[in-house]
Amino acid sequence: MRVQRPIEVAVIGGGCASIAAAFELTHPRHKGAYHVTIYQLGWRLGGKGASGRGPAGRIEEHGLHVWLGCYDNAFLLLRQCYEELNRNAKGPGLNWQDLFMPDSFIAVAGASARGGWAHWAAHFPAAPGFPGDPIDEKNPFALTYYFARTVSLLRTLLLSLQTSRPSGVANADADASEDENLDEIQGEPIDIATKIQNMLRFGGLASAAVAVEALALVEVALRSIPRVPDSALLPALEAIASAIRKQFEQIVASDDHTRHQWEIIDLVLANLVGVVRFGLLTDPRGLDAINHLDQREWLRINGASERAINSPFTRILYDMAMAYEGGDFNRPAIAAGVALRGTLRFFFNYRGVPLWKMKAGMGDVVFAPFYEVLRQRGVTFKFFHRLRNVKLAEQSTLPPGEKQYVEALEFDIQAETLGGKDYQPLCTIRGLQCWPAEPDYRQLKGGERMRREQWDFESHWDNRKIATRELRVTHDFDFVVLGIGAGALPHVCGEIIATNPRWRRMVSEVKTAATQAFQIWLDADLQDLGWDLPPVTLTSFVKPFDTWADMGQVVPAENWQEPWPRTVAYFCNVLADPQREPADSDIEYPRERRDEVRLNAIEFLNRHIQHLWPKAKRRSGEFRWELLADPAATKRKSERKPTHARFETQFWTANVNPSDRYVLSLPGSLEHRISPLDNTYDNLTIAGDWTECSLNVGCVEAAMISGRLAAHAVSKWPALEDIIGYDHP
Amino acid sequence: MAKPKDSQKSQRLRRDDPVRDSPRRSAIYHIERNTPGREEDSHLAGRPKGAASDTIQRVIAGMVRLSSDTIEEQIRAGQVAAEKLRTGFANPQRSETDVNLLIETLGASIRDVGAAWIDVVSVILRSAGARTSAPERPGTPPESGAPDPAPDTVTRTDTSADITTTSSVTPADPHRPSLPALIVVKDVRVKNVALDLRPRSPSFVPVVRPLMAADPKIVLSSVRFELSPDQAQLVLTVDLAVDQPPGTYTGVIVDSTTNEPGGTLSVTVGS
Repeated sequence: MRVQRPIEVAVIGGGCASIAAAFELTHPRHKGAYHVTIYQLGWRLGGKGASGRGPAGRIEEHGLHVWLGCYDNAFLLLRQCYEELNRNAKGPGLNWQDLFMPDSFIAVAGASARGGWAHWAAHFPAAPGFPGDPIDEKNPFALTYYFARTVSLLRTLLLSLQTSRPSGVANADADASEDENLDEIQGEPIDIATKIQNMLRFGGLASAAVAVEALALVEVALRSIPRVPDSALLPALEAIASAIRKQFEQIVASDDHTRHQWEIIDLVLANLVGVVRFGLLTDPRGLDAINHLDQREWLRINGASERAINSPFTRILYDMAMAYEGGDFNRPAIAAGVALRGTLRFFFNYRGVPLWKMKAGMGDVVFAPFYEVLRQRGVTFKFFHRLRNVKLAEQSTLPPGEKQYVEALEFDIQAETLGGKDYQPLCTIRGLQCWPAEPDYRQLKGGERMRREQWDFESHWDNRKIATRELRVTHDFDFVVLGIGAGALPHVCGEIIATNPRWRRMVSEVKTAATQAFQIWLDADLQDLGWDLPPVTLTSFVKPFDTWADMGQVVPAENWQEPWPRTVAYFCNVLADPQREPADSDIEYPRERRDEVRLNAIEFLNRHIQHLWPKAKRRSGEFRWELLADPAATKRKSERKPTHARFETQFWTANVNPSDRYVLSLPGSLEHRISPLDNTYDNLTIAGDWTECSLNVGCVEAAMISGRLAAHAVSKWPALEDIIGYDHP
Repeated sequence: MAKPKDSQKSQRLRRDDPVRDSPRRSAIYHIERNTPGREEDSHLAGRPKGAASDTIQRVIAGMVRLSSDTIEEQIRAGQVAAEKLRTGFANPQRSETDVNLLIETLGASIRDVGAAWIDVVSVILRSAGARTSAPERPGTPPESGAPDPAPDTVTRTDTSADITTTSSVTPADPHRPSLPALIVVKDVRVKNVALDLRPRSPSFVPVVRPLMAADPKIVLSSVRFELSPDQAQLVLTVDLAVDQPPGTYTGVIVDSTTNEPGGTLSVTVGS
């Protein structure tokens, strides 16, 4: 039976997952079959990716949002959005490439053998294309492809390490068999397999050179033999691993650079051996088969040294994924399968460069254009709507065989606009559509009072409202896409959790962590601060702000008076949960945590930043607070030396709202995630990086994949095979 | 897609159950999906697997089982040796000894997995050969039918010169079982002999190439196959040169005519 009216879809939340779902459901191919209404608390879209504009139009983010070159779904949708926006525009507009800066320089920090900190930085080679480009015929998500690339990487690392080998280490190349022409690695599979076989016959690989050449053979074999019996290569890998460890354990003792490379090699070897040993290439569960293990545990089982396991190259996985249970740095935990999958995608699936930094706030670059396009497509936006309850139909009223469903959605209305007009959420700064850091009170009824009384529309603990509203199934919506953050689920899905054991397990096991972040604008550039490398994204530094990104590229998009700040530095990571959860009425709780972050940041700048920026400290050891650019100062010259009070002119945040908490991928938790495709409630789907979305780690890409899955759940489109990387080992 | 609920006055729409609700994680799915010449994924379910694919699957399963045990042993040895390497950095002599132990253990591991490795390599070679020698004809259906039964491996454990020897054979033709070769040890310094024969054809005549130690310059040549006096039994004779260094020696058994691999042999010599 054809339904005459458009199908009404209520999308709750305005983060990446909800936006992706809305974007797909309103795609022109549906010819208007779906009408989407997005219900958003507060004044701005974005969820954890929301940004605002503060004094001097400076960009204020929840944290550091760098898009990775492997975010194919996210870039695909964003590029489509910009194409449509520019098609509809009256004049030429910005393209996505105008607003993203490619960045191939990544660094990690670690303890130096000579005491203190050292950092290891690398330029990653450019890869063809741009993220979101169509995937070519050679599937880049097959484990054999990854395997071959990993082997290639290992070979590259060994070769680079060899050339910097200290003198005095015996050159064992003379031991290589004269019978083998190891320079020849071309050939038919039959020749390559025979060569590997002959190499094994020697009983061991006596030299690093032979090990490197053996890796080349293994790599070629992986690529050229269509059906690769992965375990057949195990003896070759083991021989290579043994020879490599023999060679290089002896020369890594005191040289930081060599030691770092050896740590990488050790980790790569352990992963290679583990993939084969655990039969992951043939396990129908793929990398999920090891999700019960923590990443460090997995490495240890597969022979990695303790040094490598505790190296910055392992810590980077935990830091980038905020993988600290309860926000406690003493409880690092990430499921090995998730970590390995993310690592493989990060290293071997990026297009262009590994990192793409935005040249403005994420709200400006991502959510503003999506908002514009969705409005043009007819999507209705209901700001200042806070979801309170997802109400189920009474079980006793359901006919036999009828599935349970969502009967109503209950909202608090936080504010209404004057004259009942649509709220206009955007402002313009330097020609760019942006989200302000606070609502435009002039549009709101009683707005001036709300501003005076400091209504915090985004705070879980500020329950002030002007009205309530109930939406009913078939009257107001046909389907629901629940795109709120995982931390908010217990507060709005009480009925579902009480009656559904799977949901109970999900909210219990799929945990989240609060995060903290700060941004400082500096009147000095990095060289002045003593950082002698190019602008960087660095992680694995000291807690709690172990991740630092130089974001100087956003300054031109802000609205500073001359002279502009020379650079901006973003710092972030997790924030530990309090001993006792705050009451829902504790309206002061966010402010208290925010103040805690302020003190954390001041201490960090006073005690630790000097390891990265040696010229940023005074002789007393204190941070040079005069470096901070004050947006309110017309002339940034102090008559006397500023103190840490100067920090209050900067931006910091404690992301403690339940919906803002960062989802974790703890060992043993992944099996409890629920997919957007799940049809337990036949008019409800879920969307977010906390769902079973294949990638299963907190990030933009996972959220976008989940949103596309939610759209598929409602409309059977996009096809699952077209969701890039969904079917990933 | 969305179906109205007829029994209610207002049309409540509901989602259909999805065709699937989880990602396809299996690497074999990805491998098969990307094998040249295959059709699109949507037709995969209807295609029968070829015999080569089934054989590979069985061999892979066997390899995984065998490899897990040997790799665990290898890793343990590697960890011990690596730890000793770290602490023994100031004592290169000590480190050298541990590294040699590591290499010897590796050699033993290679011996253990080598047989299965050769099995799979042979399957690959035959698969590659079949693809290149039999060009596709339009309309030719893919291979179908039950694969050949797996040949049974027969293993015998004996004593010779007061040491335990292990001899196994996996016949080329599963319908024509073979007896494992008899191992005769002629030197008391031999501590262990393990022979694993996997002839590729009924006419296989085995030849032992010189076995090599961890250092490939050190070989063991005094090992040979011969027939028993009554011509009914294959015999492997293991002898040592007077100055044969201790260690584990491993090597491949090949067909005397085709030089195709047909098994592995390892001999451990004590001091």
